[in-house]
Amino acid sequence: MTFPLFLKGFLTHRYLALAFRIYIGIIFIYASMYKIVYTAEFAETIAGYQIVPYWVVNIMAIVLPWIELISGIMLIAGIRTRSAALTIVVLIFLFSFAILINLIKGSAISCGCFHHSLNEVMSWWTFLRDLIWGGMTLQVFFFDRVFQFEKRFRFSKVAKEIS
Amino acid sequence: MEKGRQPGQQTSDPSKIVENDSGLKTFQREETFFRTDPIQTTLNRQAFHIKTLSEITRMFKNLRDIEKSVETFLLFLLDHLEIQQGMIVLFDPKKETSIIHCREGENEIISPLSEVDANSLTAYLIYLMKKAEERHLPSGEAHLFPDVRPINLKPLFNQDPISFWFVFSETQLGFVALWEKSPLSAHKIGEQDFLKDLINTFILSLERVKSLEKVRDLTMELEKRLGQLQKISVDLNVSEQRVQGFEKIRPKIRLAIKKEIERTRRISVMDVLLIIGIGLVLGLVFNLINPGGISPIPQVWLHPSLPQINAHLVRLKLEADEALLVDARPNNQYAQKHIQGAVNLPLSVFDFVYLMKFSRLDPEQELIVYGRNRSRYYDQEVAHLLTSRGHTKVVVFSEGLPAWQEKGYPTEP
Repeated sequence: MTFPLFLKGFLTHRYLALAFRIYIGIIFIYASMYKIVYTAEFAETIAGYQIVPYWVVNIMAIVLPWIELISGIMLIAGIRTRSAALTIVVLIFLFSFAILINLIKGSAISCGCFHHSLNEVMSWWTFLRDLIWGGMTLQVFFFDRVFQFEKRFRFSKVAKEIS
Repeated sequence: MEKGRQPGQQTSDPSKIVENDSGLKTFQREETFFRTDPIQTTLNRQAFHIKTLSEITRMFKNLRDIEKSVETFLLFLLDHLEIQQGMIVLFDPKKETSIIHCREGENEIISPLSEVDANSLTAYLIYLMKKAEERHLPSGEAHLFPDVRPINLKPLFNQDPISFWFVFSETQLGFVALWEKSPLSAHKIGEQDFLKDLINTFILSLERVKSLEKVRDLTMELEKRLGQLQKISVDLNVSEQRVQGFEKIRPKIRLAIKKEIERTRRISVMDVLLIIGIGLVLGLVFNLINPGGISPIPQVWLHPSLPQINAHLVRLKLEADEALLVDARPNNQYAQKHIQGAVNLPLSVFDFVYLMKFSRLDPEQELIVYGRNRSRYYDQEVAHLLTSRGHTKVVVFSEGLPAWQEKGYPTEP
């Protein structure tokens, strides 16, 4: 009886959300660095998935890494964490979906997330890893409460005094 | 006073001339006159009293001021009673104000009493009033001033006056002193009563004037209070409205504060748009300076379009050995499956392979390029590069491998 309750308390804990926040933030910042610099290679990777039309490929290769970077920074700094978490959740699910499609098609391409794994062909473990990250970000989305940038303005304290 | 007829006065009465021997009759007549004369005098006097009383009543009907009433009364007294000197004092012990009027004939004497005399007079009057209360004498009536005199009024006009005192409005004291030319000895009692009546009438009128004054004061006070009340009522209304306004605002303020506190929990479209927008700007700017940057606009839109060809014609040309078929896809895809007789010229290693295989080709040689997928139009890009290398007849087989396979034409490996 108490174990599920303990589990629930643990899973919904705000400090777990903080840990996830920092972890996902670091991952995304690290992942974006390579893609920002080597835009052409990233464009090739995107084209390799054969999901998006040809005219989207270049723009996506230019903009997507920066979105990753900004969202990662926001997560770590605690600025509008919920919105950043939402953005990252969407990204992760997009990636997972693309990986799924290619796994089903059987195309042997690399995930392209990190530069060290460029030679690794994607597998179902890649898919699972992405899903786990998606789950973590969802937890952040729902349960993040501490170390938020806007709370530094102490409005909540003043507001409590007024009301 | 009207001149009364003295007894024994000669008259031109015809009856006396006729009756010669009526010494007795004359005597009888004179005796009658002698007897009726005082009655006549009394009647005259009483008529005079009544007339005076009615006159004084009429006179006071219109007076509204106490000070003026006192002065008028004194004048009236002196005038009608033919007295030369008189004095009236009105004294209010509570407010310690007094009205003193003293006249001699035509002249008004100012400050007839010294302060000491005035104080002792008023003190004595108060004493008298208390005594009257104890003995339950009715107020509003004049009383003869007792012989015990607290002050000596004789020096004023060299004789003692006849004086009365009275209480009116239950709190105020009055004192009237009249100096007569000849002392009224014979009808002193009658005259006293008459004087008393006069003064009583005066007191009545005075009380009436006082009531009028009081009413006037009360009315003014009421009006002032009413004005104040109205102002207060208006102020109250304004305050009530303000309070209502505040009451309305309060839940709104609470709600606003609550919303602000919850701000960090909110997600908004603006946030996401901001992230995407900043990413766009940063990406494009960085792309400009990046040596490894790519063009955001697809190249295929910038190049002039090349002539297209269909599968059947390609087959014919191949069989006739007129054109050379180029597969523009990456090597691994070419290795998996390609059109029979096609040469691989991947976009990524274009220069190298071109140098190796194509550099010695005749520029007039017709080249058919195929190989595209949803995300990359390899064929168009390679075709463009070929034309820029000088080949004039470059055609794009846009339908590519899928159409070829559909037609059932041969493929390798």
